[in-house]
Amino acid sequence: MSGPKSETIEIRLPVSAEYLTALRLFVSGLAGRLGYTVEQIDELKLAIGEAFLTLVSRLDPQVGYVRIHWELGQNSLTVTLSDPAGKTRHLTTAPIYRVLDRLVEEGEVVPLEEEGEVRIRFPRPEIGRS
Amino acid sequence: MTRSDPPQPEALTPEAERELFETYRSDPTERNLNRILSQYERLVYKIAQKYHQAGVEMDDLVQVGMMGLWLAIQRFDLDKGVRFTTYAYQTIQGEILRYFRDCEWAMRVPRSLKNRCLKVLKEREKLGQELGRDPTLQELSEALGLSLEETAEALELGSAYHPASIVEELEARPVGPGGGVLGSTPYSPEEGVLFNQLMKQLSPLEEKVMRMRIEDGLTQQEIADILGVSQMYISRLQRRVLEKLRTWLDPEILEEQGLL
Repeated sequence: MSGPKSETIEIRLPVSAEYLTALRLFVSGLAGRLGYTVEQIDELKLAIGEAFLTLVSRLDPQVGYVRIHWELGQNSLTVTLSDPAGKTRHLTTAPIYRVLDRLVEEGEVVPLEEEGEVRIRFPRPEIGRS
Repeated sequence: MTRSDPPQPEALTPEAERELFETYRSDPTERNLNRILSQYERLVYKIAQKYHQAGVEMDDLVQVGMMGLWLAIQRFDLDKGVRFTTYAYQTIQGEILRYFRDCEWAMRVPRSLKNRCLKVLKEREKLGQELGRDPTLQELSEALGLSLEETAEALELGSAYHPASIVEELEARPVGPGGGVLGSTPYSPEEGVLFNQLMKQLSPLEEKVMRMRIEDGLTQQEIADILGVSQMYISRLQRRVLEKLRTWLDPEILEEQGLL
């Protein structure tokens, strides 16, 4: 899992805040295997969970689902949240992302208006790299 | 006194107490540690009995208290001129109170999960001290003999608890170093205005923590140390703050207020 080549994962969650705990557990399980510390995992859960909730709060449940794409690169873990229906707007003017970006110590949280996506990137932990 | 109470050993003179700890410091073997533990474990039972109440297992309190005793032994400074019993009493009591804060809610969830949560929290602290850094989830799982998922589940359970009374207690507590001076970090003027508006939506404690976190750049653990709470508590507080901000930070409302 921590080998040299990049791997990708994609999950889809319904537009519902009730899936937050399931998402946070998924983050823990995955990040745990990548060698992140408990505090780093807390940050990942915070950033990804809040980005998910922000999208959910701006989406019509009829849209269907939120797509969450994970790229396990050699040096970083990149998580992209998007609404495939493209109905989420004003991403870059959602100040919650600015707050989130400042809160996470090692990673970055970037809303991409053009793509209708929120991208979260964290460096891979030194301890977990093989 | 319950049947499981350990016998009361003879009280030590200050000189004998010093000798006991100096021996352990110079030769930190399990045998020397056990000598100290057996000398003071009755103190743990006494404190656990004080806090024992319906619905809480005495064994759980003793287990937590023993962890407090272990911590006290590791942290005790012989040169401070304080008797170990006095020092240990505070640490053991603190651990038991923290147990109530962190895990008592879990009486609503299966006992096995509650116990797992407690074990994970304690092991994380213990491992952190041994390693000199926060453990990885893998290290924590291996130390506990649990799967990654079981450990993650226990941590997630711990983060779901909101202790209202502790918030009130901390609101009144002065903050030590750090406290945040707006402008000490590179905000643009617009962001500075926005940030100050955001802070007005928070309670005094939440504002303190957010300023320490964002303006002073302190880690969750550093803030937890300053406030005397667990890192998990700061993590929960951040989530609560973001819940508030998410509602408030609607672009349309901000635009109306001229903040965007």
